[in-house]
Amino acid sequence: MKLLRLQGFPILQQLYLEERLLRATTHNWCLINQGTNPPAIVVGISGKPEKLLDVKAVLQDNIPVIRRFSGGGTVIVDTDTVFVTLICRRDAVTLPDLYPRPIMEWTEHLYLPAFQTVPRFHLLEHDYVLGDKKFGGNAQSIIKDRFLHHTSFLWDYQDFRMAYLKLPQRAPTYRLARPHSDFICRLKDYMPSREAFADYIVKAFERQFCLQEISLDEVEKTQPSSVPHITSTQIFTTADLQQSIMPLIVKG
Amino acid sequence: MAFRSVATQAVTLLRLRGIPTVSNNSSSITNTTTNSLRSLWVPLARRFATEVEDAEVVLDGLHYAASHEWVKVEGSTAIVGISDHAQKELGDLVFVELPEAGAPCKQGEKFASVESVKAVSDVYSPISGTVVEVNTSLSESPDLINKSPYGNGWLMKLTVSNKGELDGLMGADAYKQHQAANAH
Repeated sequence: MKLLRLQGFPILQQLYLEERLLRATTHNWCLINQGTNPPAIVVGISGKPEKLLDVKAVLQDNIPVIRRFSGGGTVIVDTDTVFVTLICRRDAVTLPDLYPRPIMEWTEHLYLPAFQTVPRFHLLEHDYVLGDKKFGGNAQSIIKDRFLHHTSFLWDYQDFRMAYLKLPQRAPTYRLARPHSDFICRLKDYMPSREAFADYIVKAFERQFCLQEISLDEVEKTQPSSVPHITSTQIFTTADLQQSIMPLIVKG
Repeated sequence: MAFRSVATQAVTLLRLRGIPTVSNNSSSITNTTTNSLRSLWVPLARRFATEVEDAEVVLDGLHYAASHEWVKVEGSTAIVGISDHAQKELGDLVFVELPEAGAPCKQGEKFASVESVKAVSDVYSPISGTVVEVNTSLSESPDLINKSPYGNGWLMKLTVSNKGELDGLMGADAYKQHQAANAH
């Protein structure tokens, strides 16, 4: 498995890169990106900004909104987010078929050693939690004989940024209508440092994979972006966002 | 509708309280007396669970791909969907992306995407041809695929360009065997 460590890599570029590594390469990959700048909101493939966000506030504060190629919900990401992505061939895992639930449970086992110093880490419904508090968002993209699983871990977060996100219509049962502040927690309260967290993850993954560190330059040389592949990641323009709330404004 | 026993509900309650129900021998979590009691409770709960799940349906008269799509050919037209096994494994579907009428489809290549909670999965065409119609009901009701994978949950209709491709697909019995082999 090739390990690519990044620092402050823009999330839009990260998603373009992930989609390319998933669809246009045959290798197993692990990406770890420590933070992203500027802050951005990332919705899942079917996400509708007008249903998920306070679009007026997002427009007013000029926060980029990105639709990613994987499923799942909405996250707001910034320099306090730690991104970990796994891209695997089918033969890298002992699963009979590539479906969401078995993949999710496989990742729980993969991550467990990284959290052995943290109480009550486990998979609850579709989320990684500490007890009943979520500390990261995760999503998958499954194609023929390959899958991608990515997680945005909340090393820390700013409450005012969470205010851009509406309470989702589809929420896990365990959320119990709690506001964001009661539903999520900060990893920094449980780990010595983000560098240590990244090291714990690498050590956990090394239990199952032989990791070979690679630089972004080497990736660009050996897996050029010119190879054609399906691209679903997109950034919403200001016009897109304004149009998304037009019917709501007309209704008054 | 599935019947959930008290025992199965107990397993769910344990998980909601943050008590892991996954056994991981490689974990260094200390096996305290409390954990020992918990580790007895979960296997007991699972042993006495009497949850009844619907058996997976495989319809006769269809052709199936190894990637769990089905096709029914009627003359020069084919209807395509995903199998009951696939819809169960994917979970509740919340979004479907379908091709446009007139789009070409090639056997074994992606023609659609389905989203379940947290995951997008590609769907592959079991046969080559040109799309003539897609199931527009799925835009408002993607759960039709879960409720009726062989009926109202069909995905697309296409004119078939090469009926010989059906020879590479499985009939119902072969597909059942394929599923049974993959389960182990």
